[in-house]
Amino acid sequence: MNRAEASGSRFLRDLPIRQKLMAVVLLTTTAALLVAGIGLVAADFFLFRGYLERDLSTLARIVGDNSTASLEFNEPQSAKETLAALRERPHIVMACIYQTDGTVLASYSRSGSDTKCPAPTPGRGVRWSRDVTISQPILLKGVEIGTLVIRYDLGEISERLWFYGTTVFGVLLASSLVAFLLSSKLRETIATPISQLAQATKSVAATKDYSIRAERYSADELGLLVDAFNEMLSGIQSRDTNLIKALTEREDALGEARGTRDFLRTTLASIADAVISTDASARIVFANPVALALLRRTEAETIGKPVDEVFRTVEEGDWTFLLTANQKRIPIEHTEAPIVTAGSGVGGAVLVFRDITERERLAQEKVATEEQLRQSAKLESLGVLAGGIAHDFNNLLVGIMGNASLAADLLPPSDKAVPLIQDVVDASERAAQLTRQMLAYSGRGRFIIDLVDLSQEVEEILPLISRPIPRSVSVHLNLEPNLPAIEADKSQLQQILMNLVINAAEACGSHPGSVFIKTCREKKDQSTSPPAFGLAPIEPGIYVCLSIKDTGSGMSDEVKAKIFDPFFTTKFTGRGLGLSAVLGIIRSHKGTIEVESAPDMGTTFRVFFPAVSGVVEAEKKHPVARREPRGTGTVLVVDDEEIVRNTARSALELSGYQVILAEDGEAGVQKFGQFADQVSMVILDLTMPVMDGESALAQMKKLDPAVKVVLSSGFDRLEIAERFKGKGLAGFLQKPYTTAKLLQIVGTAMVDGGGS
Amino acid sequence: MSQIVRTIFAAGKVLCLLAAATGAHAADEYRVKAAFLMNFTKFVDWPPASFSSETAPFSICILGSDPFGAALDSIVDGEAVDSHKLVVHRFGQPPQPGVCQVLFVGGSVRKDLGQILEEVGPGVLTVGEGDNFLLEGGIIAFVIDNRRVRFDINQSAAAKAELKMNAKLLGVARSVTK
Repeated sequence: MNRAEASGSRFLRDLPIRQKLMAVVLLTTTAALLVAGIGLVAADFFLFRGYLERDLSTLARIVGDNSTASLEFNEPQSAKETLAALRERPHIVMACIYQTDGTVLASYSRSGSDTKCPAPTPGRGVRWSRDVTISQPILLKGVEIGTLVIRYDLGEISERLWFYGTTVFGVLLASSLVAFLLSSKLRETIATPISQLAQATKSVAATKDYSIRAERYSADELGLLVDAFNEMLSGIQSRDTNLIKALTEREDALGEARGTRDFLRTTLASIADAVISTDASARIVFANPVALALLRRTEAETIGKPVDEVFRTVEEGDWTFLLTANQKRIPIEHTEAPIVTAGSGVGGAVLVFRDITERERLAQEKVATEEQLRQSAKLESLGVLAGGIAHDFNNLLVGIMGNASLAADLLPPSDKAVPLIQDVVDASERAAQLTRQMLAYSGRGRFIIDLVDLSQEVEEILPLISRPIPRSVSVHLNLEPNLPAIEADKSQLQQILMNLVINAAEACGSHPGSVFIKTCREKKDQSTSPPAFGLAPIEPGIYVCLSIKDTGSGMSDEVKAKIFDPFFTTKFTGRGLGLSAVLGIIRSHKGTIEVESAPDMGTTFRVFFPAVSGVVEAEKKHPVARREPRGTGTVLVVDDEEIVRNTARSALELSGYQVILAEDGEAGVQKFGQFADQVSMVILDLTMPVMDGESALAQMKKLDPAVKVVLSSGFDRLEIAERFKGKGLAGFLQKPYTTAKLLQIVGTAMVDGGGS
Repeated sequence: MSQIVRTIFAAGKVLCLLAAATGAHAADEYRVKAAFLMNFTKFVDWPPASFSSETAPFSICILGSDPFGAALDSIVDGEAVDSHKLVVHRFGQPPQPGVCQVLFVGGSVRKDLGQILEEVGPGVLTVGEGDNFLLEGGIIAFVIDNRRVRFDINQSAAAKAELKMNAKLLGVARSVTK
């Protein structure tokens, strides 16, 4: 179909139905008539041709027959007369009779004038051109005696065509008019219901008012159409009503479902645990943000994937590790549960898991803290126990040692009892040493804090402790000069060095071995030196170290873990308090200790003390007399232990002092008030049941701010010692003390006066 | 003999005839009249009784002196009227009835012409020359009209001779006597 046809049919298609009906009727009528007319004219034309040919042939034959005699007897006149009869046929233009030799016997012309006859053609024939020329031989008894040629113009055909054309056109016009008039009446029967229906449809479409009804005009197909349309409208109307109702219900249900869904989704997204849910084919349909964060995946990389591909875990012992997208291992805790839907059974699975890294870390930290607390509690209780024992021991030892040494002094040196009494004193000394170690372990044995150069101190101490070292063990020193000072109790430093060096030497056993003693300075913080052996974490800063290394048998890790426990020993003769004491001393000095050891590889102990800014003063050398000068003055001795009071009185009175005794702080203060003008100085025990040393000191200071008080204690704490330092103590007497020590302290205090 | 050859042959004879007619030459006059004699046979119907049999010859008889000479013989040669072959006979005395179908009475016969024509009997087309011939009871008479050979016809004589004259022949005659 070409474009013209398409547009033509579209034009027709888009016409209103009235015009369309009209156009159809008119076009059909016109086309039918036109075809009929053309057919008739064409048929007539062709029929007429044949008819004309036959007619002319007949005419020619008649004329020819009538001309035979004229030809035979050479009579042009009669021939001419014969031809003249052709005048009756006005369309014959001309006619000629030829003799057999081609000469013209006679001719006829419509116009009257002589016509020049064309040269004859032999035989019979009809030639059509602008006119018809028929050539007819003239026969007489079967012999051709001449030829007749007739020319006939086609005016008749044109006339007939014109006539037919005008007739057809006229009929066409008339029939179109009739068709128009008829159809304009008849079309209404079709067009009106259709237009009405279209109008109704249009207004329904425009207003969406399905209560509109189309009017029914006829009982034909259009009537049926209108009925069907109306029925359809009422159907739509009722369905619309139902639909709106259903839709509203559905919308409500949907809104509710959406609300529920959103709420559930928000809930799932808000859960602190990771949640993944899958469909029945184990493909992930939901993953909350926590899950995505843990898996290190985006939502796009997760949703729709098989759960095995996304949630990959490794079991190790009791632990489950999640392998994340970036190949990290995260310890997790997880549960799986099927999603059971009503009716269709298992619709998938829900996986809940959580990262337990932090929890485990906290748990481990808690364990460590608890361990530390337990260790501290153990130390605390041990310390209390040790302190209690040491206190009593010290008081007893003061009595033993004091009386023994007094007894030795009273006897002449040659007396046989002197060595025995000396043994008592030595044993008492060792007992005192043991007590000190117990106190050191409990952290209550530190009293005299000085700025110390560790290298210098080691050099001084070493000769004092070298006695128990076997000759097979060589001691090598590497002491760094110009070390920063540390705050330390020298006697406790001695304890450390002694314990560690002797241990080192004993580790070598009977084999030849070496002990390397070294000092150094090191920068340390908690990362390089984590807390160990129940010690508190160290402060970052410069530390002074003491390293003692042996080439001995070394220790297993198992042994190493226990070496600082009190009463743990590997030695047959050991009491198991040496290293415990070392640890206690280090703790009270805010230091730390490191142990490196392996079986047969030797052991290295490294002790660190915090360095302080300050210089080590040249030690004040007190003039110490081997024999104390006889003292003068009255000394008030306040102590709740009778044996201590008596020993002190004996020693002091033997040295020439007047002695007043008091059995507790209250009595002390009362006696001090009573004999204020006599008392030169007071020896005050710190720990007493009725009034302790501290309160007594305060009251005495109130009575006489210039009073000289020497504090005496077996286990005073560092803090207390320091506090008393600022309160004008004349000195400190550590229990248990020898009479020599007592007299030395008292003598010094008498000379120096209070408030040092 | 094919139709074309025959036609050409006939055309040749006509050509000669026409040359004589149009020329109106004295020598050619009888050549035209000879042709006319034969042509008459085509426009006249003879009663069947004129022939003794179906194949009996059609005789053109010349009574008296023969003005045609060889011309008539050559024209007639090979021609026929229906199934009757054309032949030419020449008589000095009037022939017996039933012998001739065409009797040309030459100008030399003047004596007893009326009687001769009377006795010649039915079925004979009598042809003569001059106006007098018809008056004596002849059927066709050659005349010279405006230097052309033409003929007159006596229709009553023809009827008397039981001959049917074709209307076309009558049409081309100069005059027809009833």
